[in-house]
Amino acid sequence: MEYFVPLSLNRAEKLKKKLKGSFYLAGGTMLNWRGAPQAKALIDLKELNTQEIEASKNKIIIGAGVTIQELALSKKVPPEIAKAAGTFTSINVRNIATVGGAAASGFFISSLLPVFAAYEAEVEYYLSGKKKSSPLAAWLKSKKGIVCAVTIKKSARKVAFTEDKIAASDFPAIVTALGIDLHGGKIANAVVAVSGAKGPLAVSEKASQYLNGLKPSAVDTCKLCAAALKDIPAAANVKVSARVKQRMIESHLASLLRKLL
Amino acid sequence: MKIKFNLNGKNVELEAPAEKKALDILKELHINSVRKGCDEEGKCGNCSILLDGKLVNSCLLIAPQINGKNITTVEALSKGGKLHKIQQAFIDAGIVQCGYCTPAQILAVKALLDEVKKPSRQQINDALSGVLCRCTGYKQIYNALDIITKGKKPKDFTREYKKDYRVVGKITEKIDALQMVKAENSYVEDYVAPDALHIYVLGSPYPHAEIISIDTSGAEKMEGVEYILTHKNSPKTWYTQAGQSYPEPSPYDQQVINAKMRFIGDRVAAVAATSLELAKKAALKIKVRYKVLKPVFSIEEASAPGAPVIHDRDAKKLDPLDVGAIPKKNIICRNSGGIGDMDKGFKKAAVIAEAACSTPPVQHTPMEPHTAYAYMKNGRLIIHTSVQTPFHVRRIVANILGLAENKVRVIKEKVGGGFGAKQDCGVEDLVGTIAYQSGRPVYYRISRKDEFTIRTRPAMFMTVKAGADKSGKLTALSIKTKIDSGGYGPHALTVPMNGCSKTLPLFTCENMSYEVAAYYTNNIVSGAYQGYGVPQTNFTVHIVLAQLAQKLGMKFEDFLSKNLVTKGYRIDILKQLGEGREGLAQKLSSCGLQECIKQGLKKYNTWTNKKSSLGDDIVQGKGMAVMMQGSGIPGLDAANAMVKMISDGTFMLYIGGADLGTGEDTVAAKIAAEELGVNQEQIAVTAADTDTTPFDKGSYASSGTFFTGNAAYVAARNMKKLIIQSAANILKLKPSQVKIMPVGKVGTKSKNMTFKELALATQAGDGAGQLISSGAFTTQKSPIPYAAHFCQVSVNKRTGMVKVDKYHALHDCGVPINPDLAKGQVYGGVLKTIGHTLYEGMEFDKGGKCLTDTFTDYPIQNINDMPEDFEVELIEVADSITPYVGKSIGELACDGASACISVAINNACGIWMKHWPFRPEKILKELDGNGARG
Ligand SMILES: Cc1cc2nc3c(=O)[nH]c(=O)nc-3n(C[C@H](O)[C@H](O)[C@H](O)COP(=O)(O)OP(=O)(O)OC[C@H]3O[C@@H](n4cnc5c(N)ncnc54)[C@H](O)[C@@H]3O)c2cc1C
Ligand code: FES
Ligand code: FES
Repeated sequence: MEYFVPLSLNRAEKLKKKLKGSFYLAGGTMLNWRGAPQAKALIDLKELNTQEIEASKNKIIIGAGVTIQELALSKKVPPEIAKAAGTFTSINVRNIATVGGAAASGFFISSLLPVFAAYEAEVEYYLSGKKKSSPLAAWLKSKKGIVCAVTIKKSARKVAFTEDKIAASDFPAIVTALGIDLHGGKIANAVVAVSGAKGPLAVSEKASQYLNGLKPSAVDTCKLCAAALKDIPAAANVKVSARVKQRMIESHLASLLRKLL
Repeated sequence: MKIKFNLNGKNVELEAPAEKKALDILKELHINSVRKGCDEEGKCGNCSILLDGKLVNSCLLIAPQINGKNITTVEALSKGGKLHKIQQAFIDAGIVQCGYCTPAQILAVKALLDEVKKPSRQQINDALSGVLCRCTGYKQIYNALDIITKGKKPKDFTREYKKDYRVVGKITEKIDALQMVKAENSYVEDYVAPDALHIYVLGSPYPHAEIISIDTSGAEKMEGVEYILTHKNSPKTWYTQAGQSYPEPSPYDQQVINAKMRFIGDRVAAVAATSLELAKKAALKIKVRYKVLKPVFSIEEASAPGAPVIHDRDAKKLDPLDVGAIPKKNIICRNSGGIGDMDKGFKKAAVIAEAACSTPPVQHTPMEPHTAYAYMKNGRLIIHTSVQTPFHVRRIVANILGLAENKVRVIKEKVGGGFGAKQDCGVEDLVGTIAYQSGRPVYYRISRKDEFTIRTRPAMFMTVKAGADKSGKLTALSIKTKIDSGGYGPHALTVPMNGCSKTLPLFTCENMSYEVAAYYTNNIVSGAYQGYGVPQTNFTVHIVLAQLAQKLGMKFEDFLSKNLVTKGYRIDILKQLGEGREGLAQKLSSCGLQECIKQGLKKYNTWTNKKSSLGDDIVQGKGMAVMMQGSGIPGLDAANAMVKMISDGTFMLYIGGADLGTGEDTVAAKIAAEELGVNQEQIAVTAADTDTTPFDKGSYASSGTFFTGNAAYVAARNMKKLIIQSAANILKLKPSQVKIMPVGKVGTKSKNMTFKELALATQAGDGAGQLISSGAFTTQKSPIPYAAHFCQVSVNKRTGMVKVDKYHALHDCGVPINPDLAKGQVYGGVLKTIGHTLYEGMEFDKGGKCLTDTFTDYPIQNINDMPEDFEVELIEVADSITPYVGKSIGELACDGASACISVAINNACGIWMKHWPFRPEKILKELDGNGARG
């Protein structure tokens, strides 16, 4: 296996194009999982200066190289993001795994992506020689380029998340996050995001449509759950049935509504 | 590539391929402390290191990721013989059991304390979240932190027992803890010579098949492939791998490699090569033609008329005991019996209840997988192994190879967790055969994936029926059990029989019966697991008894108390329950059960249940359970010990017992020290080496403390006699005048000598010779340990998730010889069984392939799974059998959780969970059926 440490995004991208079967390496928790990495070549992103969390007036930029543990301890990010990072299986993994890896890995479950989505996070990435930005859910569909950062607008947005695990050492079965703005006493820009139902992130359009424009007091939990479950089909795994996953989503939404509204 | 890093303060520079794991690099640098517990899944954390001060899994890092970094491992913590305060606190708090996870836990605490001076419980949980331990239940880690950060003392957490003793019942250091906290050479993997060959086993892809032909020529041609064992060159001896006393109640139904495959993964061939990778590559070159046979995957299929026959051997000719086998019907063994008259009993009953429950195979998951290392020396076969039964292994391997037993030496190294998984000769038969036949040193470490399927607890099906009269007195109790033993039958009788022999004798009921049977199927092979069949059977019995109590409108605790045995009760049913031989009826010489219940109820009665409210799906419930085990098998088990006084008056104690980390060596040392009037430090222990230590049947059936401990007692008592006799001769006194005076003196007040003086005198040229004593312990009576467990659970009625909020366990363990270690074992056993009850359970696809052979699919508990309120209390109960009756602890600890959790769930929401594990979907199904989901 070949190993490269490019000093520029441009160089990294060129190497990736050139080397068939190569991967970008961040923390390596996925690439090095269960035996040696199955890659022809690794392109280590460690020199690409993306290990900072920057908070400016309007937004927070979380560099792709920031580890999950740094995120969990950060005072610069909203507490709910830090908390979500803190739920990652173990500190041993959090100390190596990165935000960029969490976005790009496509692992079957994600502790972070629903919360990022609930904050309407954007992914800053480098593709075809340029830096670009795209809403997280949209970027996840193609997962192209090198993730440089995840950005969040600074706002009074209300976000909460919750999760269920079969055992504490297990990956979460379901992570559910809810994000809303309140405009004139009414809900706006609602995001219901779920991980683990089927894939790392599912965002329910129908749930947003249902919530947007409602007064918090008018929200009916059953209707919200029904809307969300229409968009988010759940698939069973060896430990949890599809029905249990759905029930978890319902239970989460009920508790998130109690928390946020 | 060239990498440089700083390892424990020293600069290291080396060449490594980029994909090489940091774990492997460190291992090659003789860093023992990085232990591979989960085969690089990132789950066990036993391979932890501090990388620039941060705790990380070395298995998830490759060479360039440690380039330029600072690495700290436990090896660097102690300075000049002085332990780091965390290492010392781990010893003082009694956390170290098997020790496999200990270095990683120590590093996790170090990383935490480097950041936070006085961490909260939540911070401690987070810091330890990545290091799995299967032995300790984690609870005592808080004590270590309190010792370090609050200056607390071990006695603040664990009370001491036996006022009139100096060593027994007192908190002392575990005798081998030092080597664990320092990560000195301990386990088999630490001793393997660089030239050892590595074994890869090619497993059968079919659950049931015959090998028609096997061609190993392609593999043999590969450079570095040194030996290949197949059924063609495998010894033809029939044996059982079961590590049980001879004659075993297990069928002789296998050869080292069979020509017929009986489960997926059954040995097809074993390749020994200069590296594991090479052995694996070579194995893939072996060409095998199979005749695929119809498999059977359930007892129903196996017992159906015309079912495929899995073993067609002549049981009468081959098996050492007649256990009722009918191989042609796939029956491995059957047994039944009872006391009284069941029909009469049920007729007398005012209420009757019955439940059919089942439990799936579960895995022991010792953090150290099975390992063995063997070589030939001077014409003898030497096997270093991680096993619970070294003497049985010697007998089995010698028998397989047709050798005299004195041509085989088995050395049990430190065992990184056993729990029954390592009771059998599960790898030594293969490693021993290859080393013997090839003449080369060979090492075999089973992969985590294979560990999942080498041995499991069997799937068990229990039907319990009971009746009680109006006053709540049991009038009849019957247990019927079937087990699915898989492709072979080790322990097939012992597991279900124990389910009966350790539950029925709890009760004073006059009419009791049992019926057990075990079947071959083409599932993975089952065997012993901490508790044998008791946790499962006790769970079923409790459901039925709790139903009877409900029918009678009685509190469960009152119902139980009406029916439980007390001291002096004669347990006649035990005569029936002898596993292929006649058992021994026993009069109860002690029983602390009532005291356990009384003490436990004090707190239990103060717990109030939260009931479901609007918008809240969670309800609480509480439950209790009683349980018993044995302390070895009277009339069958045996242990021996030897004591030597050495020239400075200290002692060497030799025991055959195999300490699995549970503290058996320490127990033996403490008893010997107490008896000899010296301190624990004056006793050094050599154990479990078939060449140098006397016979012991091994560590299983809860026998260690009682049998090995009492063998040490007898040997020490005999040494005491020798000391008195010799001192009397030298001091010119009558032996009756001479006494041993702690610490380390003998004689009278006015005329005495130190042990050192005595040793020098006896060992001098004109002396009577070195003082050497031996002691054998066999018995017709074994003290029964009892316990009462209490728990409170929360059930989420919407999701089906269950959480154990409170768990209190009270144990009658006779004399608590080693109180902190005893408590640690209970914490560990309970936490493990909570896992078995709620979510652990092996799953298979329709073709018999295991779907849960990783820690991702089969998660085990980490520190965050501990109940918020988790307490263990030891109740001291004197027993007349010997002065040091330490009753067993480890297995009993596993017998109560599922029973009391199921009673608590019923109390919370009215459902009876009858099938482990109580995963959310099953809870929802029961709630649906019960109309209980609000
Ligand atoms: C034991 C264990 C427990 C885990 N627990 C959890 C958990 O609880 N919750 C959870 O959400 N996840 C969990 N994960 C999953 C995993 O750790 C995360 O997805 C992680 O964030 C991956 O980050 P990394 O830096 O290690 O990625 P890497 O392994 O380095 O890379 C993963 C993938 O992403 C690509 N990649 C990495 N960085 C970039 C980038 N900047 N741009 C483009 N592509 C990139 C790589 O090429 C690769 O394909 C766990 C993993 C393990 C092994
Ligand atoms: S071997 Fe590294 S985490 Fe298990
Ligand atoms: S002491 Fe932790 S695994 Fe044994």
